[in-house]
Amino acid sequence: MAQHAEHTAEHAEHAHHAAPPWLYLSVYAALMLLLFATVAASYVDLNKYIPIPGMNIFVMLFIAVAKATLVVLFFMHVWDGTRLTWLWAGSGFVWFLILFLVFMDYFTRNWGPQSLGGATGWE
Amino acid sequence: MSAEALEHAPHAVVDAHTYVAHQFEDRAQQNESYIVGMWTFLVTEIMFFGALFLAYTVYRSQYPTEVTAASQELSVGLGFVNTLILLTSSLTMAFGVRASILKQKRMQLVYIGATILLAFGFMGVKTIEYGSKFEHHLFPGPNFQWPPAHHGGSHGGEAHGAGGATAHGGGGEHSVSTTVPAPQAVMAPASAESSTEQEAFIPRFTPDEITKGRVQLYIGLYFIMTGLHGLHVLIGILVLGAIWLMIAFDHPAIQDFIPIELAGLYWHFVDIVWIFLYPLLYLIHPKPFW
Repeated sequence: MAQHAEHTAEHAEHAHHAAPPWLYLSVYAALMLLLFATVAASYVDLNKYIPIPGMNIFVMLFIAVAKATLVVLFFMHVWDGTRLTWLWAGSGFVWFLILFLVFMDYFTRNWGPQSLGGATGWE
Repeated sequence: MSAEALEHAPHAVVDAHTYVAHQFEDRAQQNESYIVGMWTFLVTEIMFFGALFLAYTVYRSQYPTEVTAASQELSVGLGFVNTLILLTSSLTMAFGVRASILKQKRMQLVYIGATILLAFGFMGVKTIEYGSKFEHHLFPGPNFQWPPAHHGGSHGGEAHGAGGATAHGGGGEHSVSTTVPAPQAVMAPASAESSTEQEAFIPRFTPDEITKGRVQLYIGLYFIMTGLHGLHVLIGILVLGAIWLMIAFDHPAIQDFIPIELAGLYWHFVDIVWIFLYPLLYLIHPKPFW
């Protein structure tokens, strides 16, 4: 079947040729490793090593972003997609980040007692 | 795949349903529009779930202690099994799309069938999870109970650090308490020096009620986020089931790989949402795996 894939790829420039099975299997293996890493990261107090509050969740989210990137690039075929596909797929995450600009508001005012993780407020 | 390529490719089916529509230059452009169209839908889905992730972030940053305590009620193990199931289903889906590009009918049926079965497995685990929440009165509403009945509230009031994931280095033991340090009563000044000043404020809620309300908020977010995700899994089962039947009966609309590719994009998106839900909802704090 690999010959078939090559054959198809030769004939059409932007053709969707079938990716080799090893690619999908390695992505899957990487996803499994990262899943174990996420669970492991939740059981270790990473604050002890890197004294940033909420270090664990940052590490876990970083791993989650890595997993999502693997899925988008290889399972969702953006890696060998057209430039327009790259633009469209990328724009979704840009809008997603813009959504979080709402924290400019939350972080710059006191909403009341217990505001923002222990800030007393009501001074 | 251009029409020429289809003619030369072995086993290729060129019929009325794989032609290039008149508004497109060629097949590559037509396929690109299909895929970009699907991505447009997925971007709206990102925004849709994004609002929930935003709400989650706001509440977690506001009430880290209560969020940590409430997440102790979720099973890391069951969430792990579900992550495993969904990641595997993404793999089978990717192979299903591959089989459809290669026009291998039997392999398509095998891989898409496996994806559907795994999706049912995911929903099965979800049912167990939701069942235990209902059993312990951990569903937002008048019957909501906190601290949960099965704990008896005998773990003592050990304080959790701010930021959710802090404190309790490597505690595999069930040392984590569900009893939350009492927050300040509403309207009471945070650092009242004199008792006369304190008398000026009449607390409307007891600290226990405030804790219960905040915990309920988290459980509500859990049900909305995982519930909407579960709804997407159910829709995925319907879409993939329809595609499976169309492949099985050689439906003319499914001769091309594009419908399966688009269903695959949707399915991988559902997987990505879960990739983020798992650490955010389940893995907040060291707690027993099962």
